[in-house]
Amino acid sequence: MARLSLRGLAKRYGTVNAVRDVSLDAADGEFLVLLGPSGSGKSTILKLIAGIEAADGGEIWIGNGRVDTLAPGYRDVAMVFQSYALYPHMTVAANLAFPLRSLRVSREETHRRVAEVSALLELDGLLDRRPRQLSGGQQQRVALGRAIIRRPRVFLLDEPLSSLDAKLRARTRIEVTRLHTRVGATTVYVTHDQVEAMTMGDRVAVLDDGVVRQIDTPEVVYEYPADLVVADFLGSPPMNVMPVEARRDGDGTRFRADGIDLVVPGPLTPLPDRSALGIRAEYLRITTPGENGPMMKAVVDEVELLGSDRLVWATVGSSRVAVRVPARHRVSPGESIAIAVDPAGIRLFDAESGQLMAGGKSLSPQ
Amino acid sequence: MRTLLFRRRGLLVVVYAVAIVGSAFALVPVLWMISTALKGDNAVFSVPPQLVPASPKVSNFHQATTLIPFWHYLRNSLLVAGLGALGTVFSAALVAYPLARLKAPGMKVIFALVVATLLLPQQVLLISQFLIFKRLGWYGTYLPLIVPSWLGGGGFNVFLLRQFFLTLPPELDQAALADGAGHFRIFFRIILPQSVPALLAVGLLDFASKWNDFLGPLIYLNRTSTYTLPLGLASFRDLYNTAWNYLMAGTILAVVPCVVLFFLGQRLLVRGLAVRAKG
Repeated sequence: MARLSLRGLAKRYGTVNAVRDVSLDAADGEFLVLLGPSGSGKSTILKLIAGIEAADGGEIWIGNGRVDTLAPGYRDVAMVFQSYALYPHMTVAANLAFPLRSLRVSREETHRRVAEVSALLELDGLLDRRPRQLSGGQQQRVALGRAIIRRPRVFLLDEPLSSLDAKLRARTRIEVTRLHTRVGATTVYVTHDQVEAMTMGDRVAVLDDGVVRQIDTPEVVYEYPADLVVADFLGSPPMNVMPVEARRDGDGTRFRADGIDLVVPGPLTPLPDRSALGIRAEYLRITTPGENGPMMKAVVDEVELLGSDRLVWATVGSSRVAVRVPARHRVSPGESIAIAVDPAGIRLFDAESGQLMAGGKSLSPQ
Repeated sequence: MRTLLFRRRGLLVVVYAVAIVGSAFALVPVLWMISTALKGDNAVFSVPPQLVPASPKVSNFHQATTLIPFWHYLRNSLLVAGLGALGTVFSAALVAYPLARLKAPGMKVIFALVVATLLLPQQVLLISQFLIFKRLGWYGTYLPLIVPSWLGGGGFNVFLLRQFFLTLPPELDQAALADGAGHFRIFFRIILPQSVPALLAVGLLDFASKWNDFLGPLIYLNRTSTYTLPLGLASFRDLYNTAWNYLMAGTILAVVPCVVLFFLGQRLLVRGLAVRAKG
């Protein structure tokens, strides 16, 4: 019913292409996260959907109607701003009622809905206060309330948690997800925080430089980044990437580079001329002596303790890789180690185009 | 450290000296006005001049309000300055809003033109304006003194308000826009309520300038019953005599409404004017 479709959306500011040819769909009731570094155009996309900015090209459809030709008020879209944008001279009740007043909803209905929303978001006791008398978390809830009170078809959230402290953020993350489940409106959520993207999104669209690089479930985006840009942006630490030469080797594939000579089972086709081997830190392991299987020789550079894990940065040939090991595993810088490679974690990219090779996926056990 | 302290103290001395001399320039005429207002007819030009009159005549104030229809003039002045200032505030804000917020092509040019009108001396416009208002049949009415204020409020006030609007966070407008508000609703419900200090500053300054305006009423008003205070008080001067003591007493009374308004709005006024420095 309220499926959101962007078709070839484009927006320029002067000579800067903030958004170029973005096409994506969010199914009815879906929670779609737009993830990207600052300046990737994700907030601009929200503003285009809300109608705050006019697109230079492309179309926006909600349900069966094209909305980019409509005034913002008629698009049936509500937006929550990063700064909350609460009206400082109005009480909480007036802030909540503002969208309804603009849409000429009757006084009684407005009253009823303000009561309903304030009960839902636990704002009952605060209705007569002004925004500056509220805590950050309370302001946040008012901003959410002002958006849901309209019962919009599409809900836009622009980094709504970024100004909360870490503890409150974790709690509000769950609250927002719960709210989405209750309200059920199609939601587009902009963030640069990977944890938010991973935990909240039904699907994640990774943006870079005004272009959608990949759009898929959080698991797929994390495990199978569509290209090297996504591989490098997503995950902490980012995916290890090593330039290699890939060849068929009997029933398997052989990856060679300075300091690397790996043979893994399973043929790969087609093989690019110049390849890049990607593997996340959790698919690597420091071996115990006398172990068999694919491995690489490395020298430890640095060790970071992350609490439960230890992150070991090591040099393999000309590449630097991160290995995640349990915290009890002690290694020191300068030590020579052998790193075991779990073939299930190997992704192969075309080093020229940066694209994930279709065969890259076939290496993993089906 | 010592030299710095010394330098800072030296600077303070200079600052205070300048401030004292400056305020003397402003205050001495006021003191002289009060002094004259309390003098008898013969004491006004007594030699040597007396700052504190030997026998203060408080009755001058009574004379000043009865020899001319003072309260009637006061009412006329309130009407002209009040309606005029109201129009200035409203229409200047209405012009300033799009100049601060809309991104239509040509906005910068329009803004430059509005500011450029500040360079035009009023005297240049005098004759053409007079001819226009006479043609409209407004000569002898208050309309030429009030209506222009409702048509833009003047380049200076537009500039002042635009600079203030620029300091308001644009997210609030954007939120209102997304919430279904149109430009007029944004203007009245979001922008104006947050701009009270600036609106008050513009209103007070404009009220004061209209309250004190002599030339405008002199040109357009032709019956004594319609005179404003500055014109009315001028009737204490005639070709051969000037009743300086009554004139000064009347002037003091005429200043009172403005002074009261300024004291009431002082705090907000300073906040409103501070923005101009940023612009």
